[in-house]
Amino acid sequence: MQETEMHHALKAYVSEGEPAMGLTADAVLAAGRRSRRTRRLAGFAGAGLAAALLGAGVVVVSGGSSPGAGFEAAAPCPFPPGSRPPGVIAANRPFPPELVEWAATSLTCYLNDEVPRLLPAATYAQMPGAQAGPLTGFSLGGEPPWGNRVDSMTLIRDAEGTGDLTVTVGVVDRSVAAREKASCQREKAAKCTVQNGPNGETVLLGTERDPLPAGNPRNFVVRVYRGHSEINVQVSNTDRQSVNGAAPVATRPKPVLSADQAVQLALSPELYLFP
Amino acid sequence: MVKADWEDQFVEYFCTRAQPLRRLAYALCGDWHTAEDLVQLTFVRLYRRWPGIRDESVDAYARRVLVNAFLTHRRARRRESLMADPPERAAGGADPTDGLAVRRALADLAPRQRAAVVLRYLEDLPVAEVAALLKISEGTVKSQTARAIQSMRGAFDGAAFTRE
Repeated sequence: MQETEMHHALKAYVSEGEPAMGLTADAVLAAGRRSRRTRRLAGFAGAGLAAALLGAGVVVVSGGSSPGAGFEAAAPCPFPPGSRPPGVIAANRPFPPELVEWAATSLTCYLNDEVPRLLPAATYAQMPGAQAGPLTGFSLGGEPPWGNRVDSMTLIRDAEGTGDLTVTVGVVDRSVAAREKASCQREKAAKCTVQNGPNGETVLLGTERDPLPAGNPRNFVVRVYRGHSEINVQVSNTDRQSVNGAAPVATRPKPVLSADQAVQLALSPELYLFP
Repeated sequence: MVKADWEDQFVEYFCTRAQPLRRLAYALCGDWHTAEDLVQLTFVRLYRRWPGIRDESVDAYARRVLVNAFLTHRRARRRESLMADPPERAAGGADPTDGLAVRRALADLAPRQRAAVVLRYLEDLPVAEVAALLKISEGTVKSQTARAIQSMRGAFDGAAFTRE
């Protein structure tokens, strides 16, 4: 029977010389949990920082105006944030209002100072769907993991095209750094490297695996763990807009910052908000 | 982190089905590394939906995710060759139990046709199920797999599949 022979041929083909399985249940479980968390974040904020690490999806921001509108120079810091207000900071507690204001202002002031220094020829616009303007910190409110962090989402344009920058500073347990480091080292779907910062920070840098086909989006996703702070910096070469219902496409040759610049931004002492 | 009960079931399913799914993925893409990526992607998507998937439909869902991931991956990388070039075919009739001959024969099929063949003859799925999974008619499955067998027979120089 020719169909039977086909079955035997295929069976033999897929089982001969089969290498040991590199995937483990723990790794898949961790990737699944990370993915689920990412999708929840994306649903609420469009800030799917781990998505690029996983290589399993791209955050698409929907709604709002077109990304062509409203590109302007960075604004000056509205007022200095001052010192951190007193109060308990914990991974399982939402920020009180005074802490939200301080953290959001700290993020706004630093980004409006530092990003134009890194990108002197760039202009900035609000990400469609974001809750605040470009380079401006905001809180999504609610319970953790949203209510104990501040975000900033910005479209950035220069002569190369349009890209995006998302920065998030939140509170996590100190144990998260070791867990995420181990997860990064096991990462298979994307390229993830572990570095050490100058002050003992754990630095994780994720990007898509090479070779990347021409036109495919490129993300640099940096996560820095120091004290109770989790600092995320994500840059891409897309405007995060869905194209005919499909994933965003590259709108400039490279992300708006290099991987090294993204790491340096994430390591900035000014973003170390929660010791 | 404490595992939820359904996560225990998920892990159990992974332990049982990861290897067969990786073989299916390998038959589709011809590369173990990519096969493992496709399997990881499949299980991550499975994890997201796990609590809502009925027991009897898990296998079908996993297969569908895997095949769709393969077809999407192929489209995304259409300018590249997913199948590494096998060595030149030896002169004369090739033995279909020879992995290189099967590899070349599969590589010669279009991705969707390859998926139909692999689902039909490696996974032993009924025509109706292959049709549903690939969102094509049963007639198309029959004609595509028949053409594939012809084509693979050609690849083996007629030496093997006519053996009775």
